[in-house]
Amino acid sequence: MKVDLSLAIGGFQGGGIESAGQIALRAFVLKGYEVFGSREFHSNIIGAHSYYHIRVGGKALRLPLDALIALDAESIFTHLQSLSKEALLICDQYSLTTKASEIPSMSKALKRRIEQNYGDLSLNKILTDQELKIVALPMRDLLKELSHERSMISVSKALNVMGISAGLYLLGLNKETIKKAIEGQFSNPGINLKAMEIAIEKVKDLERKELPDGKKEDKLILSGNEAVAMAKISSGLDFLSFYPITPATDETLFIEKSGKIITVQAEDEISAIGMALGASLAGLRASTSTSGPGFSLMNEMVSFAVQAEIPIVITLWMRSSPSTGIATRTSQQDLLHAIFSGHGDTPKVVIASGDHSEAIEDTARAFELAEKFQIPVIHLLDKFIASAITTVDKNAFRTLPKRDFSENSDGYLRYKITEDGISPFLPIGRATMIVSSLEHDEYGSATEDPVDREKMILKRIKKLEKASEVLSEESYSVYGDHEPEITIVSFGSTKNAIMEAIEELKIPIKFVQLRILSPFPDLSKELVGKVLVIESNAGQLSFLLKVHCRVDGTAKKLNARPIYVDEVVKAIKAFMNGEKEVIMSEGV
Amino acid sequence: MKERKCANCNNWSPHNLYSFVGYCYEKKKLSFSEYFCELFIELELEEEFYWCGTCRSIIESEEVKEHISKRHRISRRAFMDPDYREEIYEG
Amino acid sequence: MKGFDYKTDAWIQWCPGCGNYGILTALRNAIAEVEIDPKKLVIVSGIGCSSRIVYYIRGSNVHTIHGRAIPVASGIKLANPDLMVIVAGGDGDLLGIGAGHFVALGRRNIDLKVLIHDNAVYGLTKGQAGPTLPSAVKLRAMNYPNSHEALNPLLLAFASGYTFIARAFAYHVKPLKDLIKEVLMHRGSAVIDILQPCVTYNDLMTRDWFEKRIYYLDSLPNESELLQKMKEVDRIPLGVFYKIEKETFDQKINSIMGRKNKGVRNV
Repeated sequence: MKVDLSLAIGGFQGGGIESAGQIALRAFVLKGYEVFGSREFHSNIIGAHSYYHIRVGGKALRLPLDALIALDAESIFTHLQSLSKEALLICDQYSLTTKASEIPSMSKALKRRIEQNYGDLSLNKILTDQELKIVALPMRDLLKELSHERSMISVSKALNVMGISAGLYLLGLNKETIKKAIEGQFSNPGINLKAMEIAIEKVKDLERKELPDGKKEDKLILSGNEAVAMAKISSGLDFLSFYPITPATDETLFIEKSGKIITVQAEDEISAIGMALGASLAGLRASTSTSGPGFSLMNEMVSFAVQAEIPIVITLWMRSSPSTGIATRTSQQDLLHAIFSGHGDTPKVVIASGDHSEAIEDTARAFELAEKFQIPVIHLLDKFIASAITTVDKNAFRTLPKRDFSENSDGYLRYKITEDGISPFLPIGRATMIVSSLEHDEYGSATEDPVDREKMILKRIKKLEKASEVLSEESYSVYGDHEPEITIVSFGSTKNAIMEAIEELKIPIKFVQLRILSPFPDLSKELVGKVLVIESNAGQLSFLLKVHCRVDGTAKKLNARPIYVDEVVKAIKAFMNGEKEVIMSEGV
Repeated sequence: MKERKCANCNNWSPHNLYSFVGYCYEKKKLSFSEYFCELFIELELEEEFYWCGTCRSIIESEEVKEHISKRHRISRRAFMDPDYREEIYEG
Repeated sequence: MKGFDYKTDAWIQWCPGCGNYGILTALRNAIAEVEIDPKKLVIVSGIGCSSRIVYYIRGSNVHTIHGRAIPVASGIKLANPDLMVIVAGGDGDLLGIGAGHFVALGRRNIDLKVLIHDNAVYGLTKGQAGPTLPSAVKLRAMNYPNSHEALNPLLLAFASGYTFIARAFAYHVKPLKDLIKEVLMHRGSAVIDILQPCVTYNDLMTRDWFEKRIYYLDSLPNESELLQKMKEVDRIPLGVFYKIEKETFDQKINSIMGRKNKGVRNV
């Protein structure tokens, strides 16, 4: 029996959703299942609705939900329409008397939609007509029972454990597995285990089906931020400078915490990249991480890094833009921004990763390319990957050798003209030289001479041509059928949803997943049949593909939510029925 | 005179997210909104700011009357879990 | 070594009479007297007339972009604390577009020596008002009198936390050289505000104008007179205003990380 579940745990931001989600993930991993957990939350410190969407038995998100564990009324209202017909709903008995209009943290827009659909009724009334399996726990009474047994101070971490324990138990996990997951979550789990006991006792007589054991593997459970941080550490990162920004900061703080790497919080993103470039010039392996707004500030430095030929890896965690947009939600809106960043002719490499494993692989590759070609490499990721948690192979991480500085320092020329355009690199402090943002001669002295200028610009372009040759085989992955009716082209975090959609549709579809977006690979031989681009922006990859090749239709995700398998299935069907533009609108 | 229970007591603050439970600053422990004890003191309206549990928001003293007239749950402050920071996402 | 040994073969592009010549000579001679290995001498500049200095002194130098010399220099120094890292730039570069970095450097106390080539105008772009130009002054290339107040670099440096703050005059080459030598020996964020005329665009603050106003401090001002001395405008005091020893940023970072510097060394 293949276990395939989609569940959500919802509640207040700051109200224990994170630990409940992690307990659930850990429990399913202990049971031996593939898991993928996505965290959705408001840009708010405390009190707004946040939730954990967990897929068991796959690496992409699916809707509708088979189960919802709602720690408050807002969670039920928010996810009501995402529930399958007979979904399991675990909630607080007392929240069922609530009307949407009574919830201060709920957005006006959602209140309006709920009123249009159901009227301003309490949940009790709205839910009467539904076929859901509702388990309404008397949370207040359960909490009283717990407080009689133990003196307790963290309310949220008692209620969330009760909710999640009851939920996991009814979904078919045994008490022992749930217990282990809770023990793994808290350093002092006594009271939490008691909360679990009380909750399971309350639901133990309800109908449930025990889940079979899956395949147990010894894997790491990581967020995308953590995966990239660990990959940077493993790659031998020496220096990281950053300015706090969502959703990049968790990566940098993880690296800072390791205590092995010089980590500097700069005064702004200009300084963050400037310091990293300085450290790189001095011979260290250096990087900075940011998101769209911060990368905007870094633009002039990207151009400087190209001109002065300084290796640098910029990890760009895309979020919902333009401007501040929706800071805690996902998108792929910085593709063109990354490719065309920096004023002037600025050859650079842009890499995009489709999931956690690829992000780990690409982190090491980004350093190799940056240092080999002495260029900026922009590693494109997004908030969806940043905060999603999944399992990763323990030996996915690569180590890289130290940077090579074997060139003789006598008569050293920083910008020596060579056949492949690559001049041997010596760090500042090893030879006299000038590293320059002005157009320069081979030594680095400023020049406005037309012949020197032409030579230097061609040298920099030649490096990218060389990179293009090296990368040609690895610029994209091809999945699915090789004689298809349609070819889907995409990049980044849409990958797993598309793969699963193709599997489900059982029609010949080819999927070209771009890994390198600059230099843009030659796809002319790969595009067979009608071409559908799928992306989480208003058509940026479509634009590139039109310039380089051809496109017949685009499926876009614009609502700042992650992409779901089911909406991809629908989009492909719509495209096959002749629709040129499909908007995918799933997610809450 | 208000009913003598924690929810109406000057010593008690409801949890910011779950209003049925709260913290007693006299007894230094959690209790539930409908409990009562010998230390009950009626809410004194002398502060500059209050917590409205119905609106889940801090309100100013000038707004208190209006909230009370709408039967909102007013208390001196809100109680937050000591470890709530562990559950918050960057953003 | 002599100052001459640090000369490069680049043709110097500054206008005849420019204060930058005085600074160049003083800096070269100071470096020579301290005997810094040219490979370990790192001058980092931004953009502007003065930032061209990286081409005129033999070192392992970096010409960055407008306003951003301090971040790049900070990265270099943190990566390799063995290097002597000097930041050179104009008042527009360091106190206008780069003011945020100037303040942050003071807060960090990274061992960088900042030389402000302070002529109160944007020379390369032909004479717009710089951050240190007094209010209501109309220089020859300006359309209207200056509507901004002048920034006081010494007060800003003091408020930011610089551990060495001095002022000099570009044409007094020998005292300037001695001051630069002193600053090279200091450990921490240091700044010298070097007053210089712009012969082409600043027709108010000429060499003569400065020479009528400047005088040298007898000694390091004490706490009660420090701010008063920094604020003086009718007469302009020169010399060291403030100097203290404090733990530097790289020392702090390394003690937090519980390890020695791991920069690239053993040149």
